[in-house]
Amino acid sequence: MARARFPAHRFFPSANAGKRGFSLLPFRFDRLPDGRERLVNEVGESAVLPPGTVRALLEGGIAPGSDIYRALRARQFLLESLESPQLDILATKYRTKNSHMDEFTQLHMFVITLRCDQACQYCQVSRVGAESDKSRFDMSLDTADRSIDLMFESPARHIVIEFQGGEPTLNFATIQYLVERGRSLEASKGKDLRIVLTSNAASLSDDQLAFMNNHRVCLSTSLDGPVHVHNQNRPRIHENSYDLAVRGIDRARAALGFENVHALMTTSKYSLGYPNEIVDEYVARGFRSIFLRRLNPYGFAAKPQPLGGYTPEEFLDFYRAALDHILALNLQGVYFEEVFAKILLTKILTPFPSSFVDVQSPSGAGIKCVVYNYDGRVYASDEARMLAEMGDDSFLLGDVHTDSYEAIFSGPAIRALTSISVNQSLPGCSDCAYQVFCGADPIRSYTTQRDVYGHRPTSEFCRVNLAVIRHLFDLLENRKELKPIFMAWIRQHPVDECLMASGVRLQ
Amino acid sequence: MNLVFGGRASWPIADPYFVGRVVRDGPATGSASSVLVTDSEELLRHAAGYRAIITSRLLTEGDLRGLSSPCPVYHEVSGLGSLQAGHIIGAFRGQPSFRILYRPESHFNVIFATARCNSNCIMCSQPASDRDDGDLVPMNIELIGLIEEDPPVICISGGEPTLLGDDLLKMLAALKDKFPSVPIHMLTNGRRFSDLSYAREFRTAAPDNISVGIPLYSAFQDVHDYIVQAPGAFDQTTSGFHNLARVGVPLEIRVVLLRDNVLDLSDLGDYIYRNVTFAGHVAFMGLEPQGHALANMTEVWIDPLDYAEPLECSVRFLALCGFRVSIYNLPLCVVPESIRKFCRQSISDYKNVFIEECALCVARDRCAGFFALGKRHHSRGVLPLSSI
Repeated sequence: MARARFPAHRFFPSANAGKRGFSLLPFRFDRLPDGRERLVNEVGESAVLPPGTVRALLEGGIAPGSDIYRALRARQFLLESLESPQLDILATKYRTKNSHMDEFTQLHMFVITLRCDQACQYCQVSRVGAESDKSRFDMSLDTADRSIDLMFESPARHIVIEFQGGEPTLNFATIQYLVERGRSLEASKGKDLRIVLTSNAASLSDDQLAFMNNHRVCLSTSLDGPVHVHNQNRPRIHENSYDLAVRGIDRARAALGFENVHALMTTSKYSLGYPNEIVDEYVARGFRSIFLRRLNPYGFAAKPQPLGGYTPEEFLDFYRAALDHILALNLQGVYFEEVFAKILLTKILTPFPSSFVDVQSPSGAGIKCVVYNYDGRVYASDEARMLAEMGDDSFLLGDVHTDSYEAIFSGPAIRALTSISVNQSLPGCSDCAYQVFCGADPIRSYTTQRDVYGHRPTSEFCRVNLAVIRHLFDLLENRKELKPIFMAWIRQHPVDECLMASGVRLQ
Repeated sequence: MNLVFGGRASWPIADPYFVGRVVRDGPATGSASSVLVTDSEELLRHAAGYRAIITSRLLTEGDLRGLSSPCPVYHEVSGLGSLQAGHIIGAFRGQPSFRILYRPESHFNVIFATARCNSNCIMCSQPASDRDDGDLVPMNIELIGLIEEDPPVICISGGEPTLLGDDLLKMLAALKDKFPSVPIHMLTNGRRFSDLSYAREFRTAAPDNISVGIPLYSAFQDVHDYIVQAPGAFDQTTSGFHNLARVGVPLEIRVVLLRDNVLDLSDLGDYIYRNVTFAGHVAFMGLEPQGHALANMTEVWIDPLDYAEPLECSVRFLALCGFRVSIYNLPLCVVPESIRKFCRQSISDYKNVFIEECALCVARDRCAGFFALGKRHHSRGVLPLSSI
């Protein structure tokens, strides 16, 4: 008789090793408001389990073959023995989760000039007017040359060049030089270049757009929201800043192709009142995504102003409202991503890391991104450069005129920075359940808390990241209909398109 | 459509098996790679040089002794109409039946590597036997030599082919030599590939376009091991996945759908995405009601209507993750509409039929239909579709 031939009890792993009967692998956990426990391990696998589960795991109260045992073994939280071949699989997953470090420095930012023709009220960068002395504030061709030579020494195969400022187009000659040099050397250096120009787009001429198109340069411009929000944040004297931005976007789309024009917003205190309107503006303009960015506490943005600062909680209220609105649109069939959520969801829902340098461990500063300043000095990040503009050179890595690639990219400055930016060994982070989804930002800690290690309980970086990560986990748990939408964001295609693409038989 | 032919066998020689290409009704002198199929008395009396002779006539002892050259003879065989010239057939000494081993016109050719298996799945449609089938290896290598034109695809199955060890590598080398670019798909439980050195040898011996199809029934080790009836199988198979990826062999994961695993399909989807991210294809398979599955029907059978929801969820999730996904062996009408596009016509031509409910269905030419031997066990939800 079939049943007698297939006794079920033989296949539960036998409880033989020690009191517990199994070995635990590294994990951390969070207690949810209702007492349930969310366990997360080193590779981002997670499970929400009944109150008391962790204690039961430690004290041997979880029986092999139980639902909890099964769920945790499938996710490699526990194994019958540490000689298990499952450990090799876990090792592969761990390498995968940390593969963001493989290519080393990929994002190379060139500060083309400090001059700018606008005076955005939250600007972190420049109060140098457009008519200022070019020789003092523009990147020279010589500096540009040395910088791009250093860039090509990076081991990364896929490199992103980003032109920044001030307003970079005020020194278009240097942009032109770098683009032409980059494209001409790309193949022989074995690199694949993506080139992005960040610009307020107001003064891009037809010739400049044609040049960009010929050399496959994308545009990243600012659009803070509908007209009143944009003009409040980014005023221009005698002109309507919003009209200029929109016209710039339209002209750039016509010249470069729709998909090669991106927009970024910054959230000011004024913006906080208009989450839905800002999202609607992006949708109306035909964008597929928005990055809901918090104001960074650097430069001019750090100065107390009536329109300047806001608390993390105020930002989070704004963020959750805007995200809610975005999700409602997606459920109605409108494909639209929120980029910060997408970055975190990539880490939560996939075996892969994310390449966003601001939420990485070790911190991306220096090892994933680097800034070549107009004067040739090299900084670990944009924030490090802004700190220098305010007189603090703590995160200066070197100078393109005097230092070699080795001195800049593996010298004492970058080593000191990297060694304190691994969140597994930072106080607070080392015990955090969400460690693998988050990152470290020692430069921000230094700037806001005067300590490179940072003080987690008062860290706004921690408060905001933790709240958003928890919020996303709650959404995944309580609203099952959102998971396909989040997966579609990660794939960067609407759900229907992803489903159409699948399904050719191997044979 | 028949692959096995029964009759009376006469083996006047010591050869353990015969294999050869069918030649119908002449010439009188044949070759060692050919098998004569004829009912002509004249031809039967004068035939010489053939590897074997097949006839539907009744031959007496005297008739057999009177044949021109000694070779295996199968007589009183019925249904010979379906044997075509060019088919490659074979049999073992002592068996009263012979099989078609290869049909040039078919897309479903399977090289049967061995009947032995180191697993014993509770729903296995082709339960293992422990008999010594070492002669299958030289027979299959001869078979490969007899195939004339590049087949569109060849499948290798069993039992568990990797139990042949080095003999499997020999067979693969013969295939690689003769058909270097033909796609080969091998069905295996993957457990032997937990040994990385064997995985490497496999990759080296095998043709470039080899891929493997390996079952994974659950994310939960104890459930998988129970279904497979082999402790340790889950760990061996999943290690095997990784070693195959290391040596560069494309992988298809096959998930047979039975009562013991369907409710956990979404856990399995998550497990596959996070642990076997490199899999090229995931195939969900309806139960084939044969062998152990038939014996264990009350335990393993579940109406596809009753697992429609977890199946839809898993298929959509894996497709969204970027896997190629297919559904095999389920008729279109019992599969949720949103995932019908993943259904394939997977049942081998010689096994496939429709039932009376299908008479007015407009989707028959796109539908997998049913297993001929399993017509009695089908979903309560079979109904003709009026649009597709």
